[in-house]
Amino acid sequence: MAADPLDALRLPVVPVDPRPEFTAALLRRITSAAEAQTRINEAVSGTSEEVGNIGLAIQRALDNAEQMQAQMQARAAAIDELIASGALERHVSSQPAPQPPQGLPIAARVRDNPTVRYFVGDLDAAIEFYCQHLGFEEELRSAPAFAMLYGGGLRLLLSVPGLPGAGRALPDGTVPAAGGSNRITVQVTDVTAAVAELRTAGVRIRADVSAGVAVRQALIEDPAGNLVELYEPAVGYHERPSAS
Amino acid sequence: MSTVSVRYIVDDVDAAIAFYRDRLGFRELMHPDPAFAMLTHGDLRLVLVAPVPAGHPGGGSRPMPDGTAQRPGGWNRFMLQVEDLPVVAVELRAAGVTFRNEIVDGIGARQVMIEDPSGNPVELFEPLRAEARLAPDNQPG
Repeated sequence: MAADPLDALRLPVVPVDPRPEFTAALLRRITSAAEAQTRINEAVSGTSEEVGNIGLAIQRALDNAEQMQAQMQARAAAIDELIASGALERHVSSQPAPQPPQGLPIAARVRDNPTVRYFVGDLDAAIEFYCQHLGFEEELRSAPAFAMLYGGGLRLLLSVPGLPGAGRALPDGTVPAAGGSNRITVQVTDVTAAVAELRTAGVRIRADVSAGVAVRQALIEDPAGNLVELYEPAVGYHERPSAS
Repeated sequence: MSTVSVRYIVDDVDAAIAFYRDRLGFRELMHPDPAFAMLTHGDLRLVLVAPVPAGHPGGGSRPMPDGTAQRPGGWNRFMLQVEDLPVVAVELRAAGVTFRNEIVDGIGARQVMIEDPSGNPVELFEPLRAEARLAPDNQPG
């Protein structure tokens, strides 16, 4: 069965009940990372001021993990509300939510979200586009130069060319710009209907629906001219086994 | 399960596979056509395609309806979190990887941009603040 990337939004938050051997392995890894950091600090500062602080560093790492888990739970609760309100249903498949894998290690749960950076000339217009038309959520906005959105498992960073941050010029004076052919791809259940709806909403369609080897796809543009690919799985669509 | 998918246009799929696999730790999922491959890194699926003519069965890299060819390059990019960016950068330079800029300390992270063999950017970052770090481990899955 084809997986909808937004299915990740529907996964219930299951309290983590780690296996003891995994907990032990994680603790060893955190300890080893803290010790390595201490060695680096010593090498840099020439002192061993941090030697006694390994325990503190471990505690900090554990605190961060707890904080992270709390944030994820809060996010999941907020997403549940959105789903309940129907706000996420427009292009989201009606497939039943997959069951979360059993015995998933903690490290897999707190793994960083895949992150993509897009350049946009008009930050507000871009945020509106991704949130209204593609179901992204605004995480933070640092106007006028930067915003962070989440959609499915993707963290999308929006940066404005010429402004401080990632938009600033390179050492040789080159300024980043929107556009290009590289793009994020977003799975939808009915690409024809999605394109029709987006067209009605005034979204620019760069390439109408066409058939590929195992998908049907179309290209739309955000207000800055960046491509977003919409695709619908067809026969032969590849899906990575979930038990990875 | 990969939950996020990004498509990059490349001139040479084999060279791109070697780069993403050997330099950045991606895993090859499939390479069923000279113009198409699918790689994975954690929850990121990276689809690599070379430009193909309009009649080619591969639909992701044909020219646009107005004839515009798809090309590598641009500034939009995916980002990978690494530990100890300066060390990673030294290793990548020694391996002959092209850098677009020098390491920059931003507000939340230290970052640098490298290029794949076709000139597509990839941003590497190392969190500088605890709250910018989402993972205890960024190893590829």
